[in-house]
Amino acid sequence: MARRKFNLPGIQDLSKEQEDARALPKNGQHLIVGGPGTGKSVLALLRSRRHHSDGDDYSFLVFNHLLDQASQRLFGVELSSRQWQSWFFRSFKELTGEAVPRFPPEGNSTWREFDWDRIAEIIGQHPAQSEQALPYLIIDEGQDMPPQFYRALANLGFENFYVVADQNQQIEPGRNSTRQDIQDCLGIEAGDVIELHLNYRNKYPIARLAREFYTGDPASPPPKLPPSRTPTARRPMLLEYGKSQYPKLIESVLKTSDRDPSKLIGIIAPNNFIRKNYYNSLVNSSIQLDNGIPNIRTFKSGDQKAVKFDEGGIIVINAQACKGLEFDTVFLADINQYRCVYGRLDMRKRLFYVMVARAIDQVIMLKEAGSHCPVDAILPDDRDVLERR
Amino acid sequence: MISNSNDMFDNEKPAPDVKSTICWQLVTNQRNLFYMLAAGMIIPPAAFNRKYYQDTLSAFPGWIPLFANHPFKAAIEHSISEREHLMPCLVTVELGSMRGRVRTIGVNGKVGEAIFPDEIDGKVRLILVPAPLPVSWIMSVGFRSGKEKSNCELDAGDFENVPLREFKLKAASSTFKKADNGTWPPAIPNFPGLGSTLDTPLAAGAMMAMLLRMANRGTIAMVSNKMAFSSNDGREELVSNPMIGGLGAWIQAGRAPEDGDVSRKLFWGMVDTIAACRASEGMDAPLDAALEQLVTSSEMLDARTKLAVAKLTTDLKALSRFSDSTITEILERPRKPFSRAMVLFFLRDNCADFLEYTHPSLTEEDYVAAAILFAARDGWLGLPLHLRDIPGLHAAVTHRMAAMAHRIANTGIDLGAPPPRPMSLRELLLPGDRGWNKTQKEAALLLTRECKWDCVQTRVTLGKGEYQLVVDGAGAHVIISGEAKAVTTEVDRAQLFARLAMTPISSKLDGRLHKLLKE
Repeated sequence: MARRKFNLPGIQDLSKEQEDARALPKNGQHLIVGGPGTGKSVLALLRSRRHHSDGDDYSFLVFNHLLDQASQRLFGVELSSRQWQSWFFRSFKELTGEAVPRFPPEGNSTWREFDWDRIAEIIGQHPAQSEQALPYLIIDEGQDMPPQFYRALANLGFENFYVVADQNQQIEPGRNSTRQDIQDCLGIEAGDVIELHLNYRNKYPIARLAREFYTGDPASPPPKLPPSRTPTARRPMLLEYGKSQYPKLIESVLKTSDRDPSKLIGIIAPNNFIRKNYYNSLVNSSIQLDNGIPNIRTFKSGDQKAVKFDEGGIIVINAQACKGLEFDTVFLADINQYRCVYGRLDMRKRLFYVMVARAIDQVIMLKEAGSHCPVDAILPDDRDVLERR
Repeated sequence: MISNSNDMFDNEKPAPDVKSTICWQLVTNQRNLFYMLAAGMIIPPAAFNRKYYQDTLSAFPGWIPLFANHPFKAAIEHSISEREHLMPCLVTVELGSMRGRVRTIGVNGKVGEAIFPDEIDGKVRLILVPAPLPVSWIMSVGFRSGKEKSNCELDAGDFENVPLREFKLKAASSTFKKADNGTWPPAIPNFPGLGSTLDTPLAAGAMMAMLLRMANRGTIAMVSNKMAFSSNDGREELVSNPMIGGLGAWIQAGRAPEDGDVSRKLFWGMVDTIAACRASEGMDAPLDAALEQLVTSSEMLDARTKLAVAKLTTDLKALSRFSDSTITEILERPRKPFSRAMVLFFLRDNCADFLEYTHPSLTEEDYVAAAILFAARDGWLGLPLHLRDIPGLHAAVTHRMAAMAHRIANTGIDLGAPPPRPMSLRELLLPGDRGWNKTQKEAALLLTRECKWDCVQTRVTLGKGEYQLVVDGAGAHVIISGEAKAVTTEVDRAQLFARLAMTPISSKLDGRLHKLLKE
């Protein structure tokens, strides 16, 4: 299988603003904000790499298990990376001697929310640890952790933070932190926040499409568009397919993967049914390819199995799991299945903003012909931005 | 000698001993230093692609200011003024083999012109050399302290293309303390700036590296590699492919030919376009530029060729968007060499990816032509260190890139004889008139054994006579009276070259073999 790994940047790849963020001292509280593709995660990984090579005690905290696996696999197994909640369970216990207080599960969910008020009380009963005893914390997608988490860390005595965040990538508003929340909890002056403005991940046509879904939160400015040349070689595409064309579509996806087996293709599905459908169709295909059927894997929330991000191939996931991930090509499967609630278009736009920005090279939206497609309301009409086929 | 008075110096120091060797020093900061080491040349601010931090290079655009022995304190401070995280670096440059006209600023502050090195005397405080200079001329880099030196070493490790560890680094606090009190930046009105284009030299540097890495593939690749390093030694006729045959002329002129074979003009026009857009922002720029170039260049073609180019453009667009073909299906379609090279260029992203790519239907010429396009795309700056780690490559390439830049810009600067070019294993193993010599035979055997290739045979030469064949449980034995001295292990040359063409050789083994073959 073709290997993928975290490649160090070239000196020409990092901008001056990224160099400013890279040069921040190890100690202290640092917040770096920027839109998707501005290189936040690269900076967080470089910071972790430096701590690792210096033999420091550090933890690289990420939003979900999938991101944890993606970071570890790409960086190498030695990265001290953890999903933030599982890290907090252990650290809280170690520092206070008590388990994290949680509420009973709600509805059909097995997840028990943290009782942050009770957590604060317990922390208040324990003296804060000295800075020397606590690890450096590097937090990726820092907007996804609640403000109470940062407050708890500060009260536990953590002093050295390197947080990268983008307020515009909140998929679940109300449960996340704003830029101001993080600044307030960690005592960071507004002038000390480093803003990254330039988009480095996405090619122009993708960044241009993502801009269509930007909802305009000034706390986290959208990345500046990479300069364009017209016509663009690669252009995002909305592909409408009839039922009879579905097998051909699956073959085309497989051939796309086969042309460069080291590349990672993400198929982002609106729900579990579509996810399984695409996954099964891909793995059951009997098409003849130059390199054999690629490595195809899937993941859903709650899965404990490891997903290989250090190999090329195809990963089929749900929309809610795509945050923070990066794919060479992204297929947004059956977009006609997304609902759009009147008056809440911004929420749907935000999801599309995140999904589209996962792609480095190419975005292809797939839509079942003849189906009602509520998200048509948020798709750009300009065919230079989204080609129709 | 042109001269005009200038009062930038607040004190005149006595001229140093003319006979002594002058230590030429460039004052910069670690970020600019990293960029220049990655680019392989000491370059002007315009070549930093929006990542230039103010240092002494900006005072005289296009010129490299080199202090004689002691820099100015103000120049050091100026070089770290843009950001708090900048650290000053004193870069000592050896100009031993350089000849040509430079500008001078004397200890009395007068600006003049002089032929280097003959007209340089102890009264010169600073010389201004037209950019670029090869970084292989850097003798050492001085830092204010051991801590700053080690911080820079760690810092450079964050990048895939900064070869800081290959240079002599030292803590040079005393040199910093000895800095003089001159004014910086100097106020010299109407000093003529120099323009220089480094796109093509950087592309040429990457071509040298890429073609050296490919040179084991066969004769065409090996000859192309020689042409890339020694542009004007008349090997062109050895390559029948007109595109590849134009390599030497392109290296010499730095631009596509204006007449001659159509495919040669198309190909090298494409190389120029791709190399020129490297500096532009946007990762897709090379593909977009290539498509535009196809449209532009087809305007001057005959109807039949124009049609073929239009079809190629359509195919390439489809390939980069959502194509319903495997690579085998794409390559099976009849195509001319130029089209095949372009298809390959659209199938991979960079030199490193392309070097790992193989396909049974690709010819040696396909690989070489596409390697040239990828080299134009990445340039020497874009090559990660692992693609540059061939002994002797760095010095050979950086000198030639700088020399090419001076040749194209017609600066009159002669950098002297370039360092010898590194040779490929294929070239080192080429048999002489009497076959392989002893060392080549040893190297061939070592290579064959290490790679576990099945192309060794053992020859036992026996004199005339009668021999007894004994077969027992341990096998068959030929019994010879006396000693059999003529037992030789031989490597099948044709098979070895065939295997060598197909197999990547590890850096370690490559190094061992080079060492053996040069002894």
